[in-house]
Amino acid sequence: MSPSTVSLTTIFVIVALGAAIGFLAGVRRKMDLEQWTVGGRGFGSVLMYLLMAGEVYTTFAFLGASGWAYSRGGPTLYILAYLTLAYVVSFFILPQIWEVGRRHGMQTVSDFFSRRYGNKYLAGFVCVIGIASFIPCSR
Amino acid sequence: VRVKKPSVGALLLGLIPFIAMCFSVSLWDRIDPMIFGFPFNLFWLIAWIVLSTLCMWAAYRVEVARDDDKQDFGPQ
Repeated sequence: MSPSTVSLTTIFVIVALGAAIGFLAGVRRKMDLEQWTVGGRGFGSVLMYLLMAGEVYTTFAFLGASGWAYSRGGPTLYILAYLTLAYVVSFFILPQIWEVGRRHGMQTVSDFFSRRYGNKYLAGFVCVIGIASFIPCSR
Repeated sequence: VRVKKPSVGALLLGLIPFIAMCFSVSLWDRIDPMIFGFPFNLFWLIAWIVLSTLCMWAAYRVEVARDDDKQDFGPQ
């Protein structure tokens, strides 16, 4: 088998497996918007741990950061610090955000801003900023 | 909404990684004692990834001990 066949087969198997798991999960319980956005607010510790690991090991971690380290060197050391410190901060603020979101039934950042400040346009502005920031992040 | 504020002890434990990795760069930013083949500053940062985990574990113990009677800390 040629290398391209192997890689394409791997990709298709992973996509098919993920789609199958998604459909099976949808069959067994009633799905609504809350399930889709925040997983019914019921992720356990193991799943959260794996999701956070997936959050750290992005394309940037594997390709961008290593390429940057190769070409520029020293400045990349900051990545080790900021990822660690980001989770230190998260330890203090994320449980409270989770609690606020659960009590008010919020699902997105825009929900939080519209509820907290009572302004629809601010919420829309936050939404636009979120989408615009997401594009360079996921490109 | 009233949310519970973290205790001072937990916040101080969370401040330790910040002091070690962020506010004291000039103290450890050198190559000289190579440890396991790493320059000293890289070894320092990698070591503090582990040590930060210990700090956060201690902070978690502090928080759990503080609201032991309520048991509603975090998304369990």
